[in-house]
Amino acid sequence: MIKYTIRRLIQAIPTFFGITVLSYLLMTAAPGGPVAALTFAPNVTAAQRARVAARLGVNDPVHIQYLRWLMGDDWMRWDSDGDGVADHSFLIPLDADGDGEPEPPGENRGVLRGDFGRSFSIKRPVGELIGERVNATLELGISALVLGLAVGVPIGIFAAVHKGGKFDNSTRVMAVVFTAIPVFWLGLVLILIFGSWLHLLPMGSRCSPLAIGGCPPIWGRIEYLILPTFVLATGTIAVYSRYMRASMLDVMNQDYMRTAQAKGLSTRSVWFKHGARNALIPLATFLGPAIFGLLSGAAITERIFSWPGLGSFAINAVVSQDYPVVMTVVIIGAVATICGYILSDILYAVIDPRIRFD
Amino acid sequence: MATSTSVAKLNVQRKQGEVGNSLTRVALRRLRRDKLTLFAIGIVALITILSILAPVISNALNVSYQDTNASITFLPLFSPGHILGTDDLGRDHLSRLLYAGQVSLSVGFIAALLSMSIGVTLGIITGFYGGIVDDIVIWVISTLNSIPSLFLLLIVAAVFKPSPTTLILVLGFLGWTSFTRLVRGETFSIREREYILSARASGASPLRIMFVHILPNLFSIIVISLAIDIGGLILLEAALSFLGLGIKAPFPSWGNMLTNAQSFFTKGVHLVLAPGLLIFVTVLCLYVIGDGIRDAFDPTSKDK
Repeated sequence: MIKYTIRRLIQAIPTFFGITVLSYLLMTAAPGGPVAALTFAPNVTAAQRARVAARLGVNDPVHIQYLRWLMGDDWMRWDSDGDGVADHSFLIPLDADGDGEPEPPGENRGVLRGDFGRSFSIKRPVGELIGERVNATLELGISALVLGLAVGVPIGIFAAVHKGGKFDNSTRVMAVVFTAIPVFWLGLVLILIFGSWLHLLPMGSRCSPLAIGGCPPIWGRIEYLILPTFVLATGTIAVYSRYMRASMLDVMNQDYMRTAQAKGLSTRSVWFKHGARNALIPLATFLGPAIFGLLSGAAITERIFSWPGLGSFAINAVVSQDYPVVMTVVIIGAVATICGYILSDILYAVIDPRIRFD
Repeated sequence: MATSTSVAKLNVQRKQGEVGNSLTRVALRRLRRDKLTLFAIGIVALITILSILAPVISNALNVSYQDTNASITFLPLFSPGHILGTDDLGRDHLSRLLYAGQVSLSVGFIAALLSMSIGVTLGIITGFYGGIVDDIVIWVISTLNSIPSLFLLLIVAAVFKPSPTTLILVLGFLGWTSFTRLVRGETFSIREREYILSARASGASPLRIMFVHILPNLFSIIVISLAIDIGGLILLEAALSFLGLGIKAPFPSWGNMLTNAQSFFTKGVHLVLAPGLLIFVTVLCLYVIGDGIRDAFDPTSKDK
């Protein structure tokens, strides 16, 4: 098992580099970029702009820029005698803008060492900004996942037990409807009904804007969580109820189910103790991607409900061309997805002893 | 030996002049009896035709989808001259919905066809040859799939500033992976069948085997996933345009008509409901069609 895990992790390395290269190239191809962001003021002359560009290293070859972003530049230009002036450089020129003075030593430590740079628009380290928003995203994501499981799994079990009946058919329709409905529109309509017409629930945000000293604990603002959680959970409910139904039907044909019935157990015990528990096994493997998917799955829902999480942050960053933020969220999302897949494969082997990876 | 007897049997059947009960023919017969799928096809066709006829209808009603008029903003439904009212800038809502339909439907259909062409070609090639080609394509797919698709699209949308054409290209070139996976798996199993062996034995070139002997057998799974893919792409386009990163003004799309929807809540609820309903109904019908075709082609379903 450990051997398998290590092998999967090693296999993930080229994928990770593929992602970083792809997203880095896309980002450098994007219009705007750091120079435009830092020299936005109208009175900046072309010469000043060129110097900023040279100092930021945007004229370096692409592979050097990529390396700087990935591994940092504190080893590319550094100060060896402690006087604050850079005196050595590697791969990049000591005096990049050609004014006769060396550039300041590199301070960026690179994405691999957890330094995601500074946000163009908020002028603070991206890592900090992300950290402030992770909780909101996790709060919404976990409640939606819990709701999705709590509703989807029982629906799937009952649909399978009464296969072909009214309940089965109506849940099938519900699953298609939930996947065909545009998430953002469902959110808008629910806000319209419950917020604008009935005034039952707030129209968005994570807590009252009048709350002093940040949001109160979660039980003090449940009403803010209801609509976004439901909207986010619709997809989960649709998917999980269908998979649970299929898995349950599979299990119901097994010999041990007939044995359980034959030895006179109550129907309830057969279905729930022998059936549903086994039917949950394949579903458990979904949990890996689902848990990590929480980090990136909620962008649109967050945006509609003005939920201050990672997703809406990333969308705003794309709109304002704040590339360090966008890149960070993409990388976090990608790493989470890779981990999710690996976790799901490992869970599969842990839960189902018939599967062996050798 | 086995091959020659089956060929002989085929000849016997042809001589008797029977109409073969091919899978496609059986499927079409089943489809004709499937009222729900036919209804869904009808709805999609209706929406498509009305969208294509958008200029004609707008002319007949003497309205325009882009003429703003500050004196008639937020007209309610069934106003004289504007059946579905007007939007926040006084533009006729019905004609905007129809023109938006042109954009949204063509993005969905063309992008799906594009990703299907790429995906099916790559899928057949990788499934047929396997080996290093397969390894490379699978690596590309797993890399692309590891990036949360919405974020990937967001970056790409930010880079390319999409017009309808570039959006089609972007969605088409990013969406092929699911087709490739599907076709690759199916090709793996088909290439081991006897008729492929017989084609090889009779000296057919790899290209001929792939596109004459394998491709027709993939027809049903391709059509099924095409229908579902079009629906998914319409949803995706709508979401991107809603966020302001897909189709932008002056082109209307069902998604970007909802961008400012939250400010219409008190003045024009129909402006919020209509575009979303059209997206929902179109996508729902496409999913139903995909499901119907799947049932029709399912050899295990009993009714004939």
